[in-house]
Amino acid sequence: MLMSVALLGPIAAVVGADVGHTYSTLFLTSFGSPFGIGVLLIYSIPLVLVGLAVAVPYRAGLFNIGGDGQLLMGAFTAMVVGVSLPGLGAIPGGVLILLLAGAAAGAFFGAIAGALRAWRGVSEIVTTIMLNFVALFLVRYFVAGPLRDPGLTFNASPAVDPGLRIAKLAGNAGIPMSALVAILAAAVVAWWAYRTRSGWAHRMLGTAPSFARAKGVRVEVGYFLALVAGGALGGLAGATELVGNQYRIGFGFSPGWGIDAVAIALLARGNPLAVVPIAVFFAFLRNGGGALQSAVGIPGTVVTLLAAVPVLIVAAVTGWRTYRKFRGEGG
Amino acid sequence: MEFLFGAMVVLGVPLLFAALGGILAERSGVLNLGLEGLLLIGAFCGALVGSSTGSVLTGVAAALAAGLLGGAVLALLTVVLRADQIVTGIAFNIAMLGLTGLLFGVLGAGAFATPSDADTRIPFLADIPALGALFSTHWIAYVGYALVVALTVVLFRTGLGVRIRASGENAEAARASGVNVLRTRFAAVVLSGGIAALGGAFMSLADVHGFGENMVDGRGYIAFAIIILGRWRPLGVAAGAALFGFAQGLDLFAQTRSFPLPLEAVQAVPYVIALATAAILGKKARPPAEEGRPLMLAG
Repeated sequence: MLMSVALLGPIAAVVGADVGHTYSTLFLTSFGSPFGIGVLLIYSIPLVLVGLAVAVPYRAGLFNIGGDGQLLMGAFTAMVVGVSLPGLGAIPGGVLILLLAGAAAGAFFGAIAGALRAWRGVSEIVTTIMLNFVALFLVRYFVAGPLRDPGLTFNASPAVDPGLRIAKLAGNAGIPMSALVAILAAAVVAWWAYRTRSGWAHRMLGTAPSFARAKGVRVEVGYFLALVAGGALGGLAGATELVGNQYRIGFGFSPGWGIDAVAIALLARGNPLAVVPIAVFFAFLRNGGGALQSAVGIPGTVVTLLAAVPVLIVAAVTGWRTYRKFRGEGG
Repeated sequence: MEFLFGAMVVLGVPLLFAALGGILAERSGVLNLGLEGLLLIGAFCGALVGSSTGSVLTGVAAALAAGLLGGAVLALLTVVLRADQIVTGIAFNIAMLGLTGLLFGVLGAGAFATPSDADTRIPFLADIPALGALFSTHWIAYVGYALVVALTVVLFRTGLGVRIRASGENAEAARASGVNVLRTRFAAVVLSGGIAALGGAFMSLADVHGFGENMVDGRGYIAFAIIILGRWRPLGVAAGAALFGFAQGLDLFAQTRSFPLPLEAVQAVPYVIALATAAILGKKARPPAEEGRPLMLAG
């Protein structure tokens, strides 16, 4: 990750920007003010949760590329529940119902990919990609049509009732309380992964599937549940973003978190606790990227490049080491 | 209707190139998830060079060269270094989105105003009602049609094709019978990069005549649905690309007149068909057996 930050200097120099100013802009945007920290956290929360949505199936050797679809369905379902049951806002903890509804919707999308993977042998990579498009069109139809908020000049759903939102603390600084959802989710997933028998069996599916089968683990059920759990976390990410930040769903609800999440989960090697700092780092890059354009004239997309390069290097080093080890053992 | 078929061609051709590149790599045993990034660099280099030289042909050549280079990077990572194919593809896409966006921002949109040359009408064929749209389009599309034929012949009628498919179905057996699996896969991925980048060149040089940040917008991922529908065959993916192009074309169509169904429902149909195909056929619609697995043999 230091590498990504180090790469920015030469790029800034080539583009003709002041290198020192570039770095100070990058850091101060996130850490220069309480407001910056608030924005950093807001960017981090969905990345942590979708990162977990990818990391959980990844531990079982499966790739969930469907984070964007799952989070969209999660947010959409939470919005529908929140808008159609406004009375929930008066009940303390009513917002939890929305989060659960979102997780359930994401789990349903995960279950489609999981069932196809487990019992029909269809690659979860392509099914989750396709389900992203299905979710996109479904949500687009409703927010531009039957569920469009008529009071708006653009296509978006109605906002959830203020009683069903998760607050941002301290006024302008806006420290989002929904960060607790992300931290809690990471802790629960970590506890399950490292402290329970099923977490251990789940890991076996990824590292030694034939051993797992010999040990009596039902591999098909394991694959199915891995993608259901991943989908649920993706749905939770969407619902949390809805109640904690955006409140309504427009066309650009997700800027592509599901794809970033694949990179995050790999850098974390599927470790749920490592997902948290890496997701925050990605958010730090995104947050700083927005400011670079206006401050020093470097296009903000530079941070997208910076985020991807270490992933490519880690993938190459890991692949090569695995191969050398395999050859070394005379495989 | 004429308009709709025209839109189908314009929107379907980039998907065709991407899916053709995808099956070439997959047939050799490598899942090339970098199609999105390859389309982007094709569109970017095609527009940049086409604009600065004033020639569509050099633009296409530059896109091809950039695609081959991008393919070589992917091949180095996934084939030689045995990096995970899925992660590499995704990260490659993110990197190319960042790189093209960065350079586009630095150079400014003016550097990407491409020349346009007229569509080429093929005599007689272009006069067929509706389907004539296929034969009165930009010449880059005809390269795509030719590739459908060429890839079909190479993959299924030549010894080279047997070697490519053997690498994808059973690397160990292929090697035992004298195929250099590593080299075969490397070449397949490099070429798949060049082919996919031509799809990007079609977008920037033949369709929008310029470049825009993230202009590929997920088309590289749609290609994987097309590959399933086409069952890893060039003619099949051509039909799949036409179906998806048609569904996307309805979007433009519906902007000019009223449309009786929810548009999004119609647009989602090809994806649902692809999912249903996969569900019904199950293992019969399976990809090449070695796909996605790094080569653990030395050669």
